[in-house]
Amino acid sequence: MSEQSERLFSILSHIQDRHIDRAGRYMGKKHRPWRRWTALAACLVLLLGLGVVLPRLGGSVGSSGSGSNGASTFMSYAGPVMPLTLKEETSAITAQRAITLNFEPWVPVWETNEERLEGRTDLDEEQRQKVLEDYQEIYPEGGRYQYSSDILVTDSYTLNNSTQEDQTVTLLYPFTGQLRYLGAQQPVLTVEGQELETALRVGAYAGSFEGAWSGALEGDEEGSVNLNYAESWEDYRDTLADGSYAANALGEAPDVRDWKVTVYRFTDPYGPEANEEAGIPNPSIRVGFDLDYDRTTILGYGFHFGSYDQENGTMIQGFSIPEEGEPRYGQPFYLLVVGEDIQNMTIEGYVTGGSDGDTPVLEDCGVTVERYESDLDTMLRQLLTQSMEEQIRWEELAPGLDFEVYYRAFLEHLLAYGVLSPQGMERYGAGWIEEMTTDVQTVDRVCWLEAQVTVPASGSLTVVASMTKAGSFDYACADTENRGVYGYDFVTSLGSNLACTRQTATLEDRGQITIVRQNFGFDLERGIQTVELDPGTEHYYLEVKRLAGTLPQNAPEN
Amino acid sequence: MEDTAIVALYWQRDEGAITASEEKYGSTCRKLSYNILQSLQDAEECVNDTWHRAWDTMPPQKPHSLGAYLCRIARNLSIDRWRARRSKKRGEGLEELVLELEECVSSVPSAEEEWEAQAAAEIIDRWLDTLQERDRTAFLLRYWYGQPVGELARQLGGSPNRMSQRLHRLREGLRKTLEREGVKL
Repeated sequence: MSEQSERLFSILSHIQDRHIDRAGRYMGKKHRPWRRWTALAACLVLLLGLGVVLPRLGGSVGSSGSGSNGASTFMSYAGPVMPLTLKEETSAITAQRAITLNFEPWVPVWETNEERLEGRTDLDEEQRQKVLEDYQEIYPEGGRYQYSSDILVTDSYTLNNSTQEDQTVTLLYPFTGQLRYLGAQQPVLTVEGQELETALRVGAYAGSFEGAWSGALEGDEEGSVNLNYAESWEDYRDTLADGSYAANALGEAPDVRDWKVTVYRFTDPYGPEANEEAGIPNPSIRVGFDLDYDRTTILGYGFHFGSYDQENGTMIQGFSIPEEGEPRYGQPFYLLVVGEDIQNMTIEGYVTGGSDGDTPVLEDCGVTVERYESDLDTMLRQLLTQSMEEQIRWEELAPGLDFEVYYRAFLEHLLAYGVLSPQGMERYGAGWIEEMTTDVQTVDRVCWLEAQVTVPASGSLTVVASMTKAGSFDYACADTENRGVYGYDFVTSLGSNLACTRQTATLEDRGQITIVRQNFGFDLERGIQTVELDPGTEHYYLEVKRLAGTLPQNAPEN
Repeated sequence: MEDTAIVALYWQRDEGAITASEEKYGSTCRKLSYNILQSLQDAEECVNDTWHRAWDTMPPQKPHSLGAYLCRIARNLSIDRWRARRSKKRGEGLEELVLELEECVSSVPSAEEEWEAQAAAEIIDRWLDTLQERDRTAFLLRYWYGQPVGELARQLGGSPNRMSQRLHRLREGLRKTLEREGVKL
């Protein structure tokens, strides 16, 4: 055993309360198997056991290698910086674009232990002293250097009005992101230095789906159990190619108010306490019913196991009876029936979850069922309001995210990929709403900031988009040639109808980097740090490494 | 009793706070401590120390999550106690857990990275956010609460072997994240 792993075990004590609380709900309880008995789940379990899933933090995961144009294809792809466009195309407005890539976040900044402690507002004086002592033990030099692999991008447009009349135009500034991290990813738009009021337009999932083996196993190239994120700028190009993606995001939200649903609401489930010794490991409720799969679709909320027999026209949906302190305790469960109503509903208690035929029935179980008519819009708004509040509380969604934005993103995902879609994905085949809300938070999207400006007659206006842009990279452990290399992508015309008469790029390297690959034409040795961009070149890339010796080994003298 | 009411009892210096804490969180803290120490007696003493520590720190503390606050105290006290007796008893409890975590530790030396507990925990928080809830729960029950793999398998479903595979994959994911973020332990 090493000191490092022991230290890691101790470090885990510092993780956020929400993680401890969530997992802690399963502590101190009797064993309550948490199982799903669906064909879908079988695929997922197979994947979990044997598949390769890499973590991602804001970027897309893929395999590394060479992309087009000499650029690398990174394992974690952060998406390109894309150009401004106009909602309505007009020949009256042209632009000159100037991009600046500023490596200031790479500059190591000394942070004293005391400065770091200033952020710990949760401590009293005695604790502050203790924490300070800890810091001083870890950093006996009095502090540490902070730095990042993000860059600051300013994407500036001088809009020129060639007509004799003022031109009011609607700007659309695109960026790639995820609902969970929007707070950090969203650019700020300014006009002549003043921040613009913008509306956020969120596109649908900008990736695709793939089989359980991610195409790594011959014969498994088909399938739709896993998310297949965008891995390169070309993937975004393909997403935006025919204009339908943007048109959808900028158009009207789907309207499901006319979708009638029959609602079954299950409340106050009860049953004997879990008692493994007595052969009751997980008291559960099974709801069975008949349906015509061609005429009826079921959405579940709170249910977490089920079985689906299309041949015989039956379905079972079920849930563990929550005990006090467990997830979903005191909350209702729902089945939303879209289409023809279900028939012959039966409700029984079982000693454990699942739909195995030989599971013993459990007496003295029950649940109150209420049936009523509603519409899909009303029901989803009701359920997602609760879901969104919980996700924001658990920091799974960006705070301040507008419900309508979130609701629309969910609805589009449901209608495009869920059980209500004719092309529904296996990933969502169980029809459980919570399975989709998790993905809605984290999938890559193209988003737009929308704002109106007026360009004066025969005059100009400067609009600047400022953002922090993460780099693309390969995982260090993968030991590829790109270990330690960070890539930043820019596109000149993708998805834009704005005629740019000139585009330039400026590199502010801050003395921190060495260029590994690029097609901009920067030359740090010769001092070429501003270059003209060729409008005929769709994609520019810059791949850099930290310059040796730029991380100080010692504390500053002062 | 609601957490806020229990915290209020601590603030009122009402010893009922400890009774209420014991009733609501005693079992979890005791189990957590036992998972690390593998000794009922030591676990019991750690839990008693947890209530004393809670009594000493509330006020001024008013924890947002009382459960996490008490469990964190119990976990840290248990680690301290385990360290204190390490020379006497090896190969059980925390040592087993820590041995498994060895896989997450970078074997590549890095001159430029320094250890900082809070920063590393923030990275782990972000990594946990990327996991599906079931994976996140499995990882935390194992490495935060110290649940035995067999028990974990029974709780979350699947066989112990499958659970071990899953934990292996999770450790591998954490190792990659820590490496990528330049965390040198």
